[in-house]
Amino acid sequence: MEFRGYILPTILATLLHVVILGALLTHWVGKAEPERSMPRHIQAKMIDLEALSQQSSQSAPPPAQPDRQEQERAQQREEARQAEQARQKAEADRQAKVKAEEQAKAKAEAERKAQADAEQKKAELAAKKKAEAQAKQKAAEEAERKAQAKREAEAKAKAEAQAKAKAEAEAKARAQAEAKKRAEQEAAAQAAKAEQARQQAAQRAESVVGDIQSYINELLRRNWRIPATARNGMEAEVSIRLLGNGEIDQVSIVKSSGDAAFDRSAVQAVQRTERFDRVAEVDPILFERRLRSIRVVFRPEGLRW
Amino acid sequence: MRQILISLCLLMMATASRAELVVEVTQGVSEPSPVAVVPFGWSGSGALSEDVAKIVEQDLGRSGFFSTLPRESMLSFPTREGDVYYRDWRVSGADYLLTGRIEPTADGQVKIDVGLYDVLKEQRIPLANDIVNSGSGQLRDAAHYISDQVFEALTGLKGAFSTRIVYIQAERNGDQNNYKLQLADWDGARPRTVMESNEPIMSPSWSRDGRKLAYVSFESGRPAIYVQYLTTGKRERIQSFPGLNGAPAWSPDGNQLALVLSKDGNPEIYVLNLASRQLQRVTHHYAIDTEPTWAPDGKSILFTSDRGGQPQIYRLDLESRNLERLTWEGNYNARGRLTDDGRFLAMVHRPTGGNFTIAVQDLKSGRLDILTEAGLEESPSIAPNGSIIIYATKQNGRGVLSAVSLDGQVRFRMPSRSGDVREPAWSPYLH
Repeated sequence: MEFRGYILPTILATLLHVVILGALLTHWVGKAEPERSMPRHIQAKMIDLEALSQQSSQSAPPPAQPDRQEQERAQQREEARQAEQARQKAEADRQAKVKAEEQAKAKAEAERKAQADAEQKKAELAAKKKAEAQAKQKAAEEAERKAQAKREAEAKAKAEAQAKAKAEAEAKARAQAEAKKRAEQEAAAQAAKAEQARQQAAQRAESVVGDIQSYINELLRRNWRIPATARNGMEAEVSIRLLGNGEIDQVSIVKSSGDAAFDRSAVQAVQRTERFDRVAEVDPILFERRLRSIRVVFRPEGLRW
Repeated sequence: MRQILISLCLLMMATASRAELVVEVTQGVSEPSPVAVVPFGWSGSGALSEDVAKIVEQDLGRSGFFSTLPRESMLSFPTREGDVYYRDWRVSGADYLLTGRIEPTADGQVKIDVGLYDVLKEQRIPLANDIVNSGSGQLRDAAHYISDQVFEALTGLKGAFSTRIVYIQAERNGDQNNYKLQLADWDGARPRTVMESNEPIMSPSWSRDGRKLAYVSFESGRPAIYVQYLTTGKRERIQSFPGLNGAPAWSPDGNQLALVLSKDGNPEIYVLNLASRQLQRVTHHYAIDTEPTWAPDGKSILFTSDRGGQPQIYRLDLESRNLERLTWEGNYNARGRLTDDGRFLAMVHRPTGGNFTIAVQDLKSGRLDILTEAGLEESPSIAPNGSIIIYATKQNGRGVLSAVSLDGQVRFRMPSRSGDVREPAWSPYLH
């Protein structure tokens, strides 16, 4: 939902990153060159004079040409010695020259190096300045960005906090609702369970009562002598009070058919039955509740008239 | 809220479960109730002329409402309440018990002390009169009276055991015919002759007050309608027209007589005002219209007509003149008679391909029940309480009277000593 709200900050942040990256890229490029032009370790340290002299003495014999034996040899020796001296001197000279060259070179090198250093330093300084400026700018930008970010973050945080609070509140409400619902469900489940148990008990009782009902019906049917005055549509209602052992305690007409003989026949059907034995088998509480007092409706069907 | 609902539900269930168990019984045994009529005790000297208990037992047994316990099955013969062991009677299978004690009184009469008991309830059932005084010669009347009381106490219907019947008895003496209009107890006992003639007597009809009879006599050589007073024997010829004069029927109020006359060409139904002697023709059809009988409310007349091709019973509303055919089953339905409540129509019925039977039709439902086996039954007449139909039939070629309970369960034959008996007519209540 708040996606739109993030677009501007995102663009800004991306832009900022690009700018910073750009700035840093120039920095990295500028810095790379001076480093590469720095020849600091190239020649200066690898000079070995001993090795150099040996190298020159070994390489001396070839020029000393032996003419005659001794003389030649002495001469040669002398020559050699002189040559050697000369060579040595030349060598020394050459060495001095090399050394001087080297020194000059080193000096030049040092100078160049110093210059390079200075340049480098200067460059570094500039770079540093630039970097500092950049850094400063960057810092400012960063600060700005940070501030922005902070503002955004704050806003976001605030929004988030609000959202969170809202969510929390919602969650809380949901949880409460959930809990309430659960409690209700539990209560309902318990009630349903209780109800089920009650219904089962009621069903059992009902089936017992139903059995007794048809049993009573059967007995009365056998014992009801329908009088000749009976007509279809006549109806008499008899109230019966039973004893726990199934015996009939009292019987009386509660609703007359209007025909004396019919009413009497109904009462007689009950009296002729005398007792309903199976009622004695019924649980006393159920008997008390349902069977102590019953009503019988005598309503003939299928008579001729 | 939910809890309240639940507890309400539980409460309702609890109250519902408190409701009484109700058993519905829609079937039973269609049997008459067994009654034990114990022989009545007699404390006088000599033997009584009648076995009162036997008459009562027969009355109740023939009504169709009761079966009676044979005396051989009785374990004891109690004559008073104190001697009644309900248990014994219950074991014998009796629902009711009647005991009686006959004592002579000072004036030569007898006093009958009866007790009716509900065996199952083990209780005495009160009668209108537990004590019946009677002349020693009227023990049959006393017995019928007791029967009436018992019947009414047990069924709620007025007993018709003290009513009478009339019928025609024809005999042939040598080459002469003899016709008698006979009056007897409902069970055929104690017949006496009301009128006698050598010419045919037909269609006796009781007035509603039970004091007069109308009948057709040919004594003058041609049919004429007479009214005779039973108490005085006085008689008068009230109508004689050319042609057929027949089938008189008293209106319920006793002021009019419906009859059949053919003076206008063919048999039609007429209503005669007895006071003004004014005659009114009520049917107009070229077919035969005959055998009129009044509806109990006097507003319509039922009659037999073959206007539909076969004899069927029709009802004519006297005010609106609306005509309605009542019978549809079978190819012959005639001689209709209604019960006093106007619900049941007894008639001679011939099913298709069958013989003449007595049938009863429930006018409420249209249901028709054949009550007798196919024979040559005719002239049904219904007891005033609607419980029994008496009719004429043939036995060994001789006319006899039979009766059947309205539900067809009980049938019995009336005693007849001689002759051809036909056209019984049951009286109304006589007191």
